[in-house]
This record gives sequence, structure tokens and C-alpha cells, in this order.
Amino acid sequence: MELEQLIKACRKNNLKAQGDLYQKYKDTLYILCLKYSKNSDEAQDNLHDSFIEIFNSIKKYKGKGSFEGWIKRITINQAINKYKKERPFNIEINNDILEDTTVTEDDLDIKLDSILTCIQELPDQYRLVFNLYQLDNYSHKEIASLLNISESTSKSNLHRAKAILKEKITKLNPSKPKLYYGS
Amino acid sequence: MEVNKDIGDGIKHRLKDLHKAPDVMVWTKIEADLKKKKKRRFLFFLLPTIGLSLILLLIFKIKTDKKEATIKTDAISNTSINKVKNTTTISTKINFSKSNNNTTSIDSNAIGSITVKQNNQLNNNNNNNNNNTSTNKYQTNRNSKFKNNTSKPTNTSGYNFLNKTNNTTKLKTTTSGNTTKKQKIIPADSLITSTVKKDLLALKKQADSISKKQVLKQKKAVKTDSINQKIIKKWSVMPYASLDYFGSLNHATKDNTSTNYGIKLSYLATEDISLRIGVAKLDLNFTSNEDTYNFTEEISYYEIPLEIKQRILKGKANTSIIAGVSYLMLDKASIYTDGIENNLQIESIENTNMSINLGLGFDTLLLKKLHFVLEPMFKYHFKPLENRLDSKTYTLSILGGLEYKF
Repeated sequence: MELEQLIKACRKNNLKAQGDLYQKYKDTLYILCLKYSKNSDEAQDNLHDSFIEIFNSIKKYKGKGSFEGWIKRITINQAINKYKKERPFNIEINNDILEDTTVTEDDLDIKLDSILTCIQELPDQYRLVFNLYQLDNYSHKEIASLLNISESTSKSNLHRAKAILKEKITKLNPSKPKLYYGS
Repeated sequence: MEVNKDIGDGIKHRLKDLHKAPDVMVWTKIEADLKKKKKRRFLFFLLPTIGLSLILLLIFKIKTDKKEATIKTDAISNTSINKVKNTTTISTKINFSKSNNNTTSIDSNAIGSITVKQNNQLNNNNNNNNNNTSTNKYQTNRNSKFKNNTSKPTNTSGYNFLNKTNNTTKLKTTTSGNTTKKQKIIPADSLITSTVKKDLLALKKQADSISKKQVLKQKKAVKTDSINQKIIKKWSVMPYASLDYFGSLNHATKDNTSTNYGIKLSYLATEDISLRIGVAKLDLNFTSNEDTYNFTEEISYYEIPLEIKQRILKGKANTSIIAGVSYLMLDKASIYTDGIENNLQIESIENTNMSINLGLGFDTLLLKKLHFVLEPMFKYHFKPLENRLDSKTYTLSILGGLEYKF
């Protein structure tokens, strides 16, 4: 079934069409959820909530812009909402210390699951900022608005997230102990 | 030589090759939730449909009952008019008999024939032909009797006193040949006939006037009833505005001032029960605190209330109880986080909602057709305003309006 027809059928709450749509996008959205979550269980919860929200809101999709972009945005929003609900307090760290966040290609020559684990182990806000800015091309202004933080906090959080990732990844790849300083 | 690159870009590049699939159980759970939601959606539309059907059924039943009542009233009024006529006839009969007994020695046959005629005259105009026939009969009898009894003119007891003046004239004409006898006959005959005639006429007049008066009274009463029924104002329209306190049973909210304004159309189904439908704009405005942030939400709905109002106390200020449901359709929603607009959560706001409405109504007459209405109401929303918060929300409102009856 064509995507447009699938969307139309989903608007009519056709369960089969909803199943087809799920099959079509489940992997893409699951990977997105994995990056924004602490672990795979949380990622699957987010995926569930995201699809429920997609099916509930599909009538609002007017066909403007890419459908995949639209469902990705809903999934990211779900992750942010969950974070907002659960966070005990807001982290407002403006760390001015500039650490080197560059690595060589060899440093990243580790298992993809390991890289994913490193991202998942980041503190919640750092993980969100890193994912939003680095992997999903949000601007610091947008991130500030979404997370209710200042732009400078967003920039600082991003830098700090990269530093932590570098530290973790280099630890995972001891054959490359060399660290690069200076940005 | 190894090339340094930003760790973020490096990770992004590497993650493009990541392939993962969720557990099969995820879809099973999604499917179950979607089916549950379908059932809930069905109920959500079923409940107002049932409510509306019941209201329509009630209106239909009330209308049917009223029609039956009107038919019954007509039948009763007709019966009572007939009863009045009959009663008059009977009373006339009795009076007449009495008067006859007292004044003259008129035989029972004569009385009987008079009463028969009286009855015939009073009962129905349609019987005039019969009356005429019977009069002719009497006339014929009288004439024959007269012919037979010309030598005994005093024996007038067998005369039928129903005969009118023309009959008397006939009598006079037939007896004109014998003057002496005529002189004897005439006074006796004329005496009796004139007294009886007078009595008859007086009684007739009396009976007619009584019956006419009573019939007129009855008719007037029926007319007055119908006029009164017409005077009752069945419909009313009420523009209103209310100040609402918006609250949640499971979330702390503040700055909960909300407004509601619209118009309601009422139909007075019975003396005390009115059904009403309306359209209104409900503007909810509240702030909830999450962590260190204040989320100010402005949600606007179109509201369609369907309510039944039962008057429980009559007086200068009537008191009523109100129950019903409101169907809510989302118009617009805005969420501000510490003053900055944030469209993030708008997707989690329900497009439609319903509320169950309970309240009291007080109204007092201001002008001829204008009432001032005050209604404290409690409305509980069936669905959470926001899925995100799963909030159980309600509004407490005080409605003020001017009701115009027509």
C-alpha cells in the first residue's frame, strides 16, 4: 500500500493499516528511541508511546513536509516529555572549561552497540542536548526552548557530553590510548 | 597520519550503520491499546447519542401525552355541556310538573307531552323536524278531539296544551258557529291555556336562559383554558456568561480563572421540566508547576451543552436542579513555559471532550418576559485535558444570564 493510502486508512483507525505503518517505521523509530533513552527497555516504552501518539494525532498531519520527519519529531517530543516528567530538578551547568572533543577514526573503531551504550550512559540532559544538536540537527535556540534552558546552557551541555563520550570511547579502545588536546 | 575529527560528527557517521529491531511484544501492546481506545471512543460517542435519544424520546412522549390530554379535555367539555343541557331539561320537567299540579287540573298525558316537547326543544335543534311532526300530530289529535267534543266544550282536559297561538286561532275558528258555547268555552279554555302558556313560556325562557348561561360558562371556561394554555411561554433564549474555577483532582493548579459565554435555547416540556441546548465558548486558563517551571496553558473549547432543568420550588425566585452533558470541541490551545510559548505539548491535548454537568438554577422575573438567571454549576470532564498529565479536571462555575421567554 502506498504511504498516502496507508495514512488515510490510519486516519480511519484501520488496525491493519496501523500495523503496516508500524512495520514500515518501527526500526527507524526504535533506533531514534535507543539514542534518546537510558536502555532498550525504556526505548521500547518510548516507541510504544510514540506510535500511540502518532496514531492519535495522524489526523493532524496535513501532508506538508515529510511524514518520516513528522513521526520522528513526535518520537523526540515523547522522549523530551518523559524526561521533563521524570527529572528531579533542572541542570543549569555553564561549564566554561574547554576540553578537547576530537578523536581519530581509529578511536571510533569500536562496536556500534558500545557507542550506543556510551550515549545512553550520558546524564539525561546531556544526552538530550547531544542527540538533538548533533544527531538530529536542532539549533541551540530550539533546544533551549524545548528543554527550557538557556542557549549557553545548551552549548555547554553539548560540549560536556562530547567530552564524556570521548573519555568513555577511548577507555573502550585501549589500543588507542593517545588523547588529543586542544580544539 | 591520522585525521582528527569532532567526536559528535564521528558518532553520527558511525550510527548510520546501526540496525536494530524492537521486540515483537511492542506491537502486541500497541495493538491492545488501540483496541481499548476504539472501545472507549465508541462509548464516548454512544453516551451522548443515548442522551440525545432519551431527550428526543421524552419530548415526543410529552407531546403525545399533551395531545391525548387535549382530546380528553375536549371530550370532557362536550360531555359536561350535554350534561348541563340534560340537567336543565330535567329541572324544567320537574318545575313544570309542579306548577301544573298547583295551578290546573291538567292531566298527566298533557304534562307528559309537554315535557317531551320541552325535552325535544332543549336537546337539539336538529330535532326540530321531529318536534314539528309531533306538534302536527298533536294538532291533528286536538282537531279530531275537538270535532268529537264540540257539544262538550268544557271537557278540555284532553287538550294538548302545547298548541301555539295559531292552534288556538284554529280552535276559535272551528268553534265560531256556537257563540254561547263559545263564550263558555273561551274563558275556561283561554284561562287554562293562557296560564299554562305563560308558565310554559316563562319556564322555557328560564330553562333557555339557564342552559344558555351554563353552556356559555362552560364554553368560556374551555376557551379560557385554551387561552391560558396558549399564554404559557414554551420557548426561551438565554445569553449568558460565567466565571469558572478550573481545577484538577490529581494535579495542583493555580491562576485558574476561566470564562464561559454563550447562548442556550430552552423548551418547556412540562410545567416544571425544560430541556435546553446551547452553544458556548469555554476559555480555560491555568498554570501548573512542574519541577521548577510554570506551565501556563490556555485551552479554548466550543461547548454544546444538553441539559434538563427541573423546577423544584416556585416563588419569587424559582429554584431548579440541572443535569446534563456538554460536548467539547477544541478550538485552540497554547502552552507557555514561564512566558515563552511552547508548542511541544499541544499534540497531547484532546481534540474532543465531554463533561457531565450538575447544578442549581435560580431565576426571578425582571420584566414581563425577562428573567434573571443564576446557576452555580459543577462540570466534570470525562477525558483528561492533557494525556501527558492524565489530569482529572473539573470546573466550578457561576453562570449569570438573562432569559427571554416567548
